[in-house]
Amino acid sequence: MPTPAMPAPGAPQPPRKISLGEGAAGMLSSGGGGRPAGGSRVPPKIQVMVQPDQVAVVTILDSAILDENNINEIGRQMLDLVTKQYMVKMVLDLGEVKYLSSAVLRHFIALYKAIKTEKGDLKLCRVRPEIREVFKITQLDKMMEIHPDLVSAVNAFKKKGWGFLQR
Amino acid sequence: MRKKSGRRTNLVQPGEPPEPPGRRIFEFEFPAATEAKNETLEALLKALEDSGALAQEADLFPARLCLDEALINAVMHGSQYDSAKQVRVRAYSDGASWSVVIEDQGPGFKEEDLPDPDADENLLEESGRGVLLMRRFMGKLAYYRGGACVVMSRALTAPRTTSVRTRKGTLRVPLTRRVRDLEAILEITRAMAAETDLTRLLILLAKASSKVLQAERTSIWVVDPRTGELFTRVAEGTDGIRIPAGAGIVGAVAAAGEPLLIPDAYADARFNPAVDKKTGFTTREILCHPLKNADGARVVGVLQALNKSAPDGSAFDAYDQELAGVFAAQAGVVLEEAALREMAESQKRMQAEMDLARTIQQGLLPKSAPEIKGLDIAGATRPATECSGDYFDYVMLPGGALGALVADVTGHGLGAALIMTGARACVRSLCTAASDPAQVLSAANNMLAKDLDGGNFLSLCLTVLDPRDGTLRYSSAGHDPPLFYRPSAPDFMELDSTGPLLGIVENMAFHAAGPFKLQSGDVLLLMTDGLFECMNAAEETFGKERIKEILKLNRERNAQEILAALLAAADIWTGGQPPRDDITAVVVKVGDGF
Repeated sequence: MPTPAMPAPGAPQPPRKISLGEGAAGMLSSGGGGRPAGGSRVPPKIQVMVQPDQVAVVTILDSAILDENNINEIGRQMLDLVTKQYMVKMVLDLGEVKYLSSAVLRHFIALYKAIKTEKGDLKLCRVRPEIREVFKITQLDKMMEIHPDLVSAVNAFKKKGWGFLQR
Repeated sequence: MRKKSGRRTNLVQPGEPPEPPGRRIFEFEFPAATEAKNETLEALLKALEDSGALAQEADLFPARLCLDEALINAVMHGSQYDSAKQVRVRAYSDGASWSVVIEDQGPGFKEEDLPDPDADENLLEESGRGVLLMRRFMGKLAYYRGGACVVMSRALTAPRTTSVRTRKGTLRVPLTRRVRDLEAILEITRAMAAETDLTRLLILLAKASSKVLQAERTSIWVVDPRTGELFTRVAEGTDGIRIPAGAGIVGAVAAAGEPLLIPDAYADARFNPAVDKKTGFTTREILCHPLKNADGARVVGVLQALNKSAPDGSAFDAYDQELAGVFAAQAGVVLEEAALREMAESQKRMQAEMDLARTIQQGLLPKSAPEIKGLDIAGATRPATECSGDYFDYVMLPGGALGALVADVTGHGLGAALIMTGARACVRSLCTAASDPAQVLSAANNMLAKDLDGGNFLSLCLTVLDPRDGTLRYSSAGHDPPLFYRPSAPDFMELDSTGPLLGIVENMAFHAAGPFKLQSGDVLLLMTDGLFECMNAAEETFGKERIKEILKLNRERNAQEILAALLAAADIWTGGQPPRDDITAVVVKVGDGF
């Protein structure tokens, strides 16, 4: 992978966008992902944008995560980002999600635990009020910071001095 | 390992579940498999939504979440994904809350086996949050049959309301209902803009009224302006009905001009059950609103909505009455517009008929005078309205004399024109047999007096110009005297009346005057009072003296020129205003050789 030019201090650097389609999917699965090449591939359920300071913004594209197979697929994709791509500074963007059940929460917790094992952190943003209520009832909001928007979630990593993790 | 809940809250009971309150709106059994569970969840949510239980946005998420959790538990924990096992689902709604019962064929569970949701060390446990979420989102959650049957219920969220100002104060109305009603009214307004036919417009209105008011039937009654009776212009479910003024609820509303809401029709003494008997319909509630004309002063009809049939079983209320007022106002305007349109149409028809009558009448006037050596004749009529009561005519009498006559029927317009037409035919036919003008008028009077009712009559002057001896004779039935001008004579001569007006009484005596010997240069002017009585802006009449001056001044000119000079002078006198009375004039100028 070519080394990106060093940005001028303070200058914004364009984020790398990794869609779990064609090429990007190949890259992501190069560490041994279980996605079959070709055939009846399901459309991507998540989108990953890697910010200049290695903060990965993961957006869930399903508005209602209903089917158990979908739920498990999304959980697996998210976990792969940590275990195979070492994306341990992660912002989970739930702006598109209108509905989820406790089956989805299970995967968020698994993701959180995996990131914590790697000394990283998981933050949430753009969470609808009714889903926020679910986080509150289950007290998951005590562990995972919830930010109103993407920018404040990404900036929260800078403030807390995660710079030492940059490679 | 997870810390188990030590607390007991009697979440799980051994016995059978109670029957939830309300109407059963859903029942289904499915094999314990993911696919069937997903389909059942969607169908269950749809049934709840259709019943009105999930009308508020805020109800949707908790319902989906909790039913999803409970169904997953039944399939996963209760049935272990064994599709040989059945899961039974029932749902109930009573208008204030909804309940769902889910039964599986599994062994159930113990409350103490659930993880303690409040223990911090359980926070990172990946499972066991479903029951917690259900307990928080549902008003009631209880397990029966040792955990194999769950009953959950939730009260309906109170709807957001909006204020509606009415004549009788401000009402609070659910926002969703208000939006729905305004949308329906907007839709009907659009549809009405594209429709011009009155009946179809009223049908549109009645349908919209039934829909918005959730009424079983709507009828639109119209007041018959002649009798005060009320009749159905549009009535759903029945043929036309006509009731006497003031009868029944509709009649009471029309009489008072105020809306009425009758919650129990048969308990109201004013209610007339005859219509129900005829149609087989059972009227329970009545909501009536008067239809008024544009300025609101007159009741033109009544809009009547019967029997509210809302899913929640509610009755007509003050807000419904307000909505009925909206439709009533629309119907009132529609009826008013239609009445105005009809009036304009009939005026147009009337005008067309008047135009036709005028054309016919103009066709009856002579186009030109008969050619008689030494006589120069010109005549004209100007009607005050489309049709004239004046006329002039030329007839050839037995023996070869020329009859020139002018007549004036009382009044003007169509009625006068009809009499004129009859008089003309009568005089014409009499002139074929008689040459004596008095004889003609006498016979004409007898015929006309039989036909006319006494209030109508006419004046007529028949002059006879006889080329055989060059003389003038005449007979005048109460007609304004024609002017006779001989340039050599010191003064004008007036041909005074020789008999009474025609058409009043039979068997009257008419005399003839003459014969007078005519000379070259003599001018005879027959006219109606419209000519000399026409007025200027100062209400001064044109007068006979001016006419005499004009005749003198123009004595060298021909009959057509003299006539034109007279009419032009009268036009100048009236300032071009249309004449108030019909104007008719005939000029006879005697030349050489008569």
